[in-house]
Amino acid sequence: MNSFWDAVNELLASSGYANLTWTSLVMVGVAGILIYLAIVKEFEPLLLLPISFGMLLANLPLGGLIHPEFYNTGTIDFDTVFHDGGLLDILYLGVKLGVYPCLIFLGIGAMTDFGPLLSRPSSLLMGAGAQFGIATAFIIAIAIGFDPNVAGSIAIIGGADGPTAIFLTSKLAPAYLAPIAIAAYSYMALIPLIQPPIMRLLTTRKEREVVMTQLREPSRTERVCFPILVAVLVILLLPSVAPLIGMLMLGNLFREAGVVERLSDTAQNALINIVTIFLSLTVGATAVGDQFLRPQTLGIIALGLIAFAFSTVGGLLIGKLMCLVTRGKINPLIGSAGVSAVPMAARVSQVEGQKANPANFLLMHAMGPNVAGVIGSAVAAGVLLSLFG
Amino acid sequence: MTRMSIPEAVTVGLFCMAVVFVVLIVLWGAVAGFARVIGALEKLLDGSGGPSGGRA
Repeated sequence: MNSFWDAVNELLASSGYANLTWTSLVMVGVAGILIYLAIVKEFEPLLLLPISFGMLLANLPLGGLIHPEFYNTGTIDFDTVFHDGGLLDILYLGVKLGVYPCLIFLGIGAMTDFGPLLSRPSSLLMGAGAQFGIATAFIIAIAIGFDPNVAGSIAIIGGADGPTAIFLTSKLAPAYLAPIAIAAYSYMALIPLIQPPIMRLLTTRKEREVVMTQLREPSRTERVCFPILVAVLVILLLPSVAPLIGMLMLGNLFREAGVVERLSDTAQNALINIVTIFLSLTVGATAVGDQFLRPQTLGIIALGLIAFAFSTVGGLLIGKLMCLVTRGKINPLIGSAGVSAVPMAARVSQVEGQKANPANFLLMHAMGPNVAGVIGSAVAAGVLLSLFG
Repeated sequence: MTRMSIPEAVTVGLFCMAVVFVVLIVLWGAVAGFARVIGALEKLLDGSGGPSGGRA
């Protein structure tokens, strides 16, 4: 009989219940809140749901699905990962090696219509101005004591581009991947709350009422040449950004060439969906209690908000400048869409424009700075990678 | 990685923004220039009167 109770005790001692710690309990609670926000509030559910479930799985003790400690050093010991790693360790290699963000960029390229940017190339200026938050957050992060590589990874949250943030952080500061990715995607979901007060604060009612003239329709030749031109020019200028810009433009070429419908369809549907599952599940799984529950996480979340706000300010200021230069032909509200977050930020410009003038349709005009912001944040990531990688 | 002073951080921030602006302004020029070249070529080839759609 004693041996039976010994066996029961041994079974209980080796169960996950006996190995629960306060950090894992807190993280399970955080995962529960994120699952709630994804399902009930529909905050970026396509990303937040797999991220939060990955977080839940990783914090149930002894599951052995992922071992974040395998990746905290600069190099990957593939022998250890393949022999001792769990399912999510294998999938996480796609994040660690920078494969998933690039494949997601391929899908984004295939989904993106660069037509509004081609019709008004000056939109690129607003896409550049809206990276202002990256510089601001970097300086503040250094001032409060973060190392330069970590500060660069935190600052890229201001680019409002999840894959770019994950790509850069996986290279510069992998130990901070989970809080940075979660902050980036959470703030992207909160754009309709973060941007409007700043937009109203920095623009006059007269500026918000500006009605913009209809855009011309770019020719098919222009659309086909654009991705080739951007890939050549940007990669020659900044080789470190080749994986992101190269894949973004390849996806767009699939879309615009008109001769590879199947490839375009796969890139913008099946492929991006599969990679999104792998990426978000494994990023969430890196949020284990011991590494996530530290004071720096709060700093990252606060700095991410500052980065987002200053990027919005930068885009709006360039928008106001362009409004001034063109004598009121550009509505400065489209400047805030330069923070990427396609198409959420452009929709916010549309909503705010219509509040000021119900006859105003800014959506297509805002898509120009919006897609320019994707290129801008990738370029900023390339600069930070060149400096600290 | 070694810590960075605030003046250095400001320099890095400004440098980052400068590169982003230079790259995107170069792209602006290239896209606008290419649109003109393509428009002229299309006009030359089919005599249709400029890029499809024309400026609104």
